[in-house]
Amino acid sequence: MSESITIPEQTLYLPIPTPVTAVRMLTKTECLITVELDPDRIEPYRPGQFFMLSLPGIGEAPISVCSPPEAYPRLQLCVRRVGKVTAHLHQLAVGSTIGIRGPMGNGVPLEQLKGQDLLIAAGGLGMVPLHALINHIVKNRADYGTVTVLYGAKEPGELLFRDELLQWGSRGDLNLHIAVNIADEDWMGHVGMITTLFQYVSVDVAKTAAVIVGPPVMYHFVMQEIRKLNLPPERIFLSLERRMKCGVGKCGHCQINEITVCQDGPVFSYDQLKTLPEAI
Amino acid sequence: MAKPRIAFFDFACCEGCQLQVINLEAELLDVLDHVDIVTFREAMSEKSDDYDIAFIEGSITRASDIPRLEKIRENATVLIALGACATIAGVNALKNRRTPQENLRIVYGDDGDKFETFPVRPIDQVVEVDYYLHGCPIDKNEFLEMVKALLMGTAPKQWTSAVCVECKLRENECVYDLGRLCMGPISRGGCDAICPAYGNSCEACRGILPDANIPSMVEVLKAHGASEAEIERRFTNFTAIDKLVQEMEQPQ
Amino acid sequence: MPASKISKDDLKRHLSEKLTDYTLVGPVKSRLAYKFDVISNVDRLEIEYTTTVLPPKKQFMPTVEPLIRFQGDGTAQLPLIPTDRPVALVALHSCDLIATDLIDTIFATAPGDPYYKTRRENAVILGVRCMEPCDTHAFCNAMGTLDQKGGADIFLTPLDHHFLVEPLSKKGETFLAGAALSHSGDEDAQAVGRIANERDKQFRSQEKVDLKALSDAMTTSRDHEIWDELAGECLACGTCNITCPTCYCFDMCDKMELSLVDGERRRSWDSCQLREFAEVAGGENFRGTRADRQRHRFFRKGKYLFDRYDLTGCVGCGRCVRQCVADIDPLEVYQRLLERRSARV
Repeated sequence: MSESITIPEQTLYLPIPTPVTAVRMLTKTECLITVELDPDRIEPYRPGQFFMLSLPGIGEAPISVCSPPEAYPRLQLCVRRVGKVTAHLHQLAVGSTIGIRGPMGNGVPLEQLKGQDLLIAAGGLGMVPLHALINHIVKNRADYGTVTVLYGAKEPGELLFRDELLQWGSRGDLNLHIAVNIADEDWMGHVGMITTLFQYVSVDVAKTAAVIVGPPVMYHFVMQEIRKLNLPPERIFLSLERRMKCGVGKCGHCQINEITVCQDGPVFSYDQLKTLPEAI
Repeated sequence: MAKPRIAFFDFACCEGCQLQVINLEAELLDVLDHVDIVTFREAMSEKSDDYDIAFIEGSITRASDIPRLEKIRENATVLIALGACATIAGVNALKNRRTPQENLRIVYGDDGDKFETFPVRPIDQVVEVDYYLHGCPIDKNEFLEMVKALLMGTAPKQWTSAVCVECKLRENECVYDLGRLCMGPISRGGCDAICPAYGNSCEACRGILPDANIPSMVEVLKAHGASEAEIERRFTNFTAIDKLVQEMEQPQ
Repeated sequence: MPASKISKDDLKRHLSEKLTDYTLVGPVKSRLAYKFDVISNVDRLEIEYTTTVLPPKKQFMPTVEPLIRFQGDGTAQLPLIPTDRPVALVALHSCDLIATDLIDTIFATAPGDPYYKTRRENAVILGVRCMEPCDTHAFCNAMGTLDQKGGADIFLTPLDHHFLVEPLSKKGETFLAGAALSHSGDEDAQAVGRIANERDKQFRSQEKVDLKALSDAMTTSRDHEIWDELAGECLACGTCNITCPTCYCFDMCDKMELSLVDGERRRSWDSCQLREFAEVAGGENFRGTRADRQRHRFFRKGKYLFDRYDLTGCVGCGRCVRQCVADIDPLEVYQRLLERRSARV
């Protein structure tokens, strides 16, 4: 599925200094960092892959690709402030430098999705890698059939990429359904768990693939809905979150069963996950 | 950028942890390139109420300690518990086995009623603590690491692994193989297993780990010949009894 | 190559001579325990020893090592691993030789780990056959690693006054050049067979663990009651992982100088039995209970590594059980899991 990593072994753990070209807060806890990759040292990326971002003395953290492959060598990363590395990433100024290793992981199997109808379900921060995928689809719209996007967030203030959501919703060739668990006064849309959006979904089982990214608790409930659609497991793709330290399949932190999420994943077909009891 | 201002305070303690800071000697001078120390009774006579980081040594043993500690909390942006007395009440908590009245009588005899005292508590039972520097005494290098982290604006490492990890990494023979009891398997590390490295048992001076398997530890001590009283002593030597009880009640 | 042998004194002499060209590392005694250490005087070397506290893996992957050096000018550099002097790692038991094979496989699988590989390629390994169980806890015979030569460049078999010598690689032959080797006849091979026979009876269990059956048994043992039982005993102290020759998990963290701009990104040995091992920054812990962590430990030893690399993940060295104060014994765990399987069939 993924191409083999071609970086020289000697530099396996060496962060490549990379300039920050833009920083924008998306919500109270998420910021969007834009960097300019060195194309001689960092190869193109795809949706679903991730990079290790680091700052000397603070540490490294795995962050999902947020921009579509077409943006390369520009790269956007959406960072939620949850730990000490991400707290520091939030304080980055334009013109500063961060260390980057990657791209890592397999990413979404774009070749397999080509020509298919797509059902995309994003829960919370799961929108970050799917933002990369949806933007790729939008740029190559003719390559795909009907595209349906379900997006669930806790509350309206946590919705990411609000401007783009409006654009996607008004395109006419993207079925976008958004749900929030808790509405505020201004919210006019659907209220409920992401699972309640499946009432708007009808799929052609013969030619639909699903891509689902969200927190662990979401998979349990969303998969119940997905199963009702009778899609073949090999055409359902999920991305797993795990603790990662090295990103190159050595440190053992992200191991489930005999695989490492950082190398063999983070994107797996439901077919594969059925043989990995610890996965979801 | 202005240098952060650091202050040291002590409550009931031997001041040995502050001595560990002074023992840094040469490195302490390098630290002073980055910070101003504005209050440090053990090392200087100047004092100030204007500080960013407060290191508190000692446990809280009487009512009048509380407003003093609360005032420090109010003044400080970051408050750090320095050493076992402050982090887990330390050996002072042995006093909690008796009533305050009994303690006063034993120590001061007929003059007991002239002094105030109450059951000993670690400082986080009075004010919010940002970070903990465990140990009796603290490890001076760990103090340095904490200062570096604070200067870089990041969270210092808070140890959650057992003493055994560092003990094995040093290739010590197990203290149990030497025929002694040891609390290392469930005690907070960060000390580089200094006691077992010299053939001494770990006395849990950094506290029992929050998710420790206490029933199994008791079984291990019993299997190595410890009496009930000995087990009680091992568990409470450094760890305030009430805190231990709290932790035992936490679901695993 | 015809079988050869060397007298014990001559081997010592040869090792001593090699000190000029090689850094010699082998088992030495420190108080009660043995450990691998750099040897400058061959008299310190304990060629017949019981298992060391830490496995010899530390020679190729130190317990703590820098991966990156940060410099004040904002650049990051790779640390230099000196290779000007080769290392001779002496007197590895078969369990550790097989474990070395396993770690070699994992750390050479693309992308290979440059630090491990550099040190590994710079070393010549002298294995030594165990002529009696080295420790009452060992169960190498049950795991099929006893007498295996694994990653050795030279394999030695001790007899009364001699070692039988088998060079197994070019590196090994180079190391042996100039050694006072003599011909070893059939009677030596027969003696080895006789001793080995007697030795085998002394192990605590005579039964062999069927590795394939164990992996299969684990597949259906996710909900076995044993995991909760082990969780009741396990102190989550990490000793089993730290002392295991086939554990290789590590943590990475930064350590800065007081300048706050110079420093290192280091890796240090880690343990999957510690509570935070699988916890992500958001707080989710994917193996939050001791039962989950014990199962992960044993599945890694008995199933995951075997399934992926066709190599045993447990070499039966007995280090973990000897050093576990709660007496958790892998062999007993394997036997329990296999028992239920045979009861079902």
